[in-house]
Amino acid sequence: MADSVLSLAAVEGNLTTTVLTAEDFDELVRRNQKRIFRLLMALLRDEDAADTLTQECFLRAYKKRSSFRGDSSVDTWIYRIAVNLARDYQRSKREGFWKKMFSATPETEDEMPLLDTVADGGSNAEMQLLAREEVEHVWYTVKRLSDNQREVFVLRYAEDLTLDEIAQTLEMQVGTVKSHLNRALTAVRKRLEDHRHGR
Amino acid sequence: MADEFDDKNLKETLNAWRESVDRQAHRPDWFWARQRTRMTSRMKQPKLLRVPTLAWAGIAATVTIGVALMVPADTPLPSNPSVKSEPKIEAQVSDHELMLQLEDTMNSGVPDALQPASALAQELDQAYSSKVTGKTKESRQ
Repeated sequence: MADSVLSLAAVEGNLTTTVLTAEDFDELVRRNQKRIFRLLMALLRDEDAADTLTQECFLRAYKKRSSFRGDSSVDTWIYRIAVNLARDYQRSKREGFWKKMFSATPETEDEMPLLDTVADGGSNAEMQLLAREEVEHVWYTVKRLSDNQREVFVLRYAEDLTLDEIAQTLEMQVGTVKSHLNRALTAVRKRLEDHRHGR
Repeated sequence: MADEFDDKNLKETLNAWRESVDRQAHRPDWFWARQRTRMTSRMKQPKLLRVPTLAWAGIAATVTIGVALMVPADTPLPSNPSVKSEPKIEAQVSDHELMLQLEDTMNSGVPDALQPASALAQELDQAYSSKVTGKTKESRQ
């Protein structure tokens, strides 16, 4: 994350004076769109939603550029917008859950394992399969964490943010971040241990 | 082997999970270019077009109510000109003409449903003619 923060210094300057040219914005998008898409994929695991919300994230950033105070980096600000969008999306999806329950279309894609997501390698096929299953169990657990725990977990282990950066992004205390992260890790570890014990 | 899933195992699994995230988020260059193009086109959309339909309905309702409130209560509402002209037509038809029309109608053959009215008209005629006859006799005497 550090490189992009520093390289966006010029853009930050423009943001604070609310004069963001089309070229500046294009640069902002080019430097951040892959990371924002990856973050949204980790949070939602839904390609269409991640694509749409990535676009929405930058459009909101553009519209609200005058409200950027400059007390955090542009990256943190963009991350915050993306996390809020993902939270709103999941909330609306949960609200639509009961509607889907009564509709004729069954929803099965959520539980479909993506076992081909771990790179091939290693000599032992059994170990490879075990590793793939374990990754899938991490996905499974992440999906079932609370919003705060999932956001902290993804920002820490998918985006490699420091605890301070996560605290700034989610606008919470570092101690609270640690607490959420600890609970998330405990849940992941328990799920993996249960898997190894065949439970 | 006391804690089968120790920190080392967990770290390795989390690294594998992160690689999985990277792989799932990997897209070709055209995907990113298309995404930027879509963003640019959405940014260039006129603001008016982005106002939700409900907002337009609300604006229309507000304008309608505003206009209705601006019209004073004792002001006659504008009406259809054809409706206005009807009293004039009625006024133009004199009583005499009306009687002639009625007489024509009576002479043109009476439907069954109007038989009682026909009988009444005959009685009136007879009463009128007898009155006229009586008056003539009195004047002669």
